[in-house]
Amino acid sequence: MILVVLLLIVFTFSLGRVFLFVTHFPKTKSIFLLVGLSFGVGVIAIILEMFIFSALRLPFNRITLLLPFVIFSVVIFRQNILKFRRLQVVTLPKGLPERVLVMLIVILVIFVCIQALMRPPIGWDALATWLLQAKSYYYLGGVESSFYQYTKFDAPPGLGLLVSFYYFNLGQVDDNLILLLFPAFYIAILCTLYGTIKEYTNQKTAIVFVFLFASTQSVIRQAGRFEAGYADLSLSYFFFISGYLLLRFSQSKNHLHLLYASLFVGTSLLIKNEGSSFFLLFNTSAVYIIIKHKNYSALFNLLPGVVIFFAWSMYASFMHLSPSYLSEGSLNISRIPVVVLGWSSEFANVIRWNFLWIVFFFVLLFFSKRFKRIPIGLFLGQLSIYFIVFLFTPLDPAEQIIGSFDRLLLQLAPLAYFSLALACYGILKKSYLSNSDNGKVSRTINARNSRRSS
Amino acid sequence: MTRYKVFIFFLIVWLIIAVGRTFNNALKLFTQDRHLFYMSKEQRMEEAYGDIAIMVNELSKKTSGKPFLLTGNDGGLYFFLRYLLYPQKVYWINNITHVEEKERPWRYVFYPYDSLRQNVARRREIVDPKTGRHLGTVTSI
Repeated sequence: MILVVLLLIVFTFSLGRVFLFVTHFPKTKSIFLLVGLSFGVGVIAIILEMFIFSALRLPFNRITLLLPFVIFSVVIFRQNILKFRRLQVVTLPKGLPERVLVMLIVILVIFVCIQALMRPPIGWDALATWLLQAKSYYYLGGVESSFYQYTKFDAPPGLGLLVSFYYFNLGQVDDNLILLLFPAFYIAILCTLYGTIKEYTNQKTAIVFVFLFASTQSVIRQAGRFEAGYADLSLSYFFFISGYLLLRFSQSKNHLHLLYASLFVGTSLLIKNEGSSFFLLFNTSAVYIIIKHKNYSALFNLLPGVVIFFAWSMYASFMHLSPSYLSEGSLNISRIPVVVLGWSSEFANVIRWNFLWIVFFFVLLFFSKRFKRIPIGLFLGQLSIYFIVFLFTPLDPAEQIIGSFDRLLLQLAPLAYFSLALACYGILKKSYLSNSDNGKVSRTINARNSRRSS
Repeated sequence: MTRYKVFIFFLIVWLIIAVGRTFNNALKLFTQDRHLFYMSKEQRMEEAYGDIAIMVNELSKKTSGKPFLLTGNDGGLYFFLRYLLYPQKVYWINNITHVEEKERPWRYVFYPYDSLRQNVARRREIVDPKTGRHLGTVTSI
């Protein structure tokens, strides 16, 4: 059975790769970035297929779910087999410190995969929400409003649909094996983080920051150790890629970057409710970029995300989802000191985050100009919204911060690492992190950008 | 220049701690988690869920998969039972709606860790078969 799950994960990657190929996604030199993006696109395809099937009341079973993708992939592959054959060779970095870090990353990936398999799901949110959704979609043969009336949920169905897709193909509910999906998200984030950071800096910087991310205890917990089954790590992946693709769009003006960014941010709506605020921030930023560059035809590329937003809103209404607990709250400015104190305590939590937030805010304070505006803008915007939510919540904010703020930070962690890596490279360019052999891509982008700005 | 030195210092300490914790995490496989490698799936469930794993087995037998109402204030127990027993439905006395209170869709009532009086009709004990520990009582309606 474990082989079936692994095959399904490989299938998800392959499906995404086929979609990227068919839509002529701009070529990337990084195989890691391609792998990381492919997984996300594959996940989106599966979630949207399940979502559409449930809206149209089509049956959920192995054949109806798998067949469309298999036929599509086989047709595309057969017609373009020669183009798919070009595999990029991956070589180890030349320096010893980099090789050691790569070895440590591999150790962490293996550790996380073993941890995911060692225990049944025990995370509170995993059992109370995400995996329960998946179980119900499997046993009910689809999404039913009776489930939402029974559970009194307000959670979006995305992760449940993805997990139930795996259950249907496994032929049973195996909530131990399915936890392998979360190390898969972890690996996808590592690959994407490496590819994106390397694109703007160099290999050394990319390896260092991927290792720092991979070794973050909060990330390891949700990737496999104790908290596998939570939705925050997968949501962080979608936030990060949306932010990265929006940045690429602002530089390349390639509409496909914006189209895929819109798909990723739209899917984040279906993963967790926090996706709604990020969706609004993203679209505001995207519209601003489009107007600034007078690239008005690009507005149509925001449609996928908008369609998903409206589809989700209608779905929530039909399924009689419980209203958010925030609807019972009111703004309470006197809570600011409590929230600031609670947040500071979490930022300084070296056990969970190592030195991430200490370094991040230090660099933000003293080297703010080194940050790229789009990812840091999205990060700070979403953080501000979380701050307002804690001022609004009907629950005790101090307790809620203790119970949930680490997970809210995890949702923004890859975006923070990406922003920080680019900023740190800018600070340390002339020292250890620079390498004339590996800076070619970043030099190309920098030269292109300086020509444009002049 | 001072800011630059502080930044480098933080970065180096961060890397050192990260490397140390990576080895510490890897060691956990051979120390803290070693016993899990030799356990069966059922043993791992008992290790993870404790009494709840036993309750799940006994409740599903004694209630024949029919819905039941959980009493008490233990929200954690409610969420665990609700997930582990699904598709069997578990209602919790602390969050039933007006409609549920009126319709009473449950056929049993479970009192975790409670022993009811001997003369309560149709009561069945939930007991750990290995240790004989009393884990609760379920009555049918």
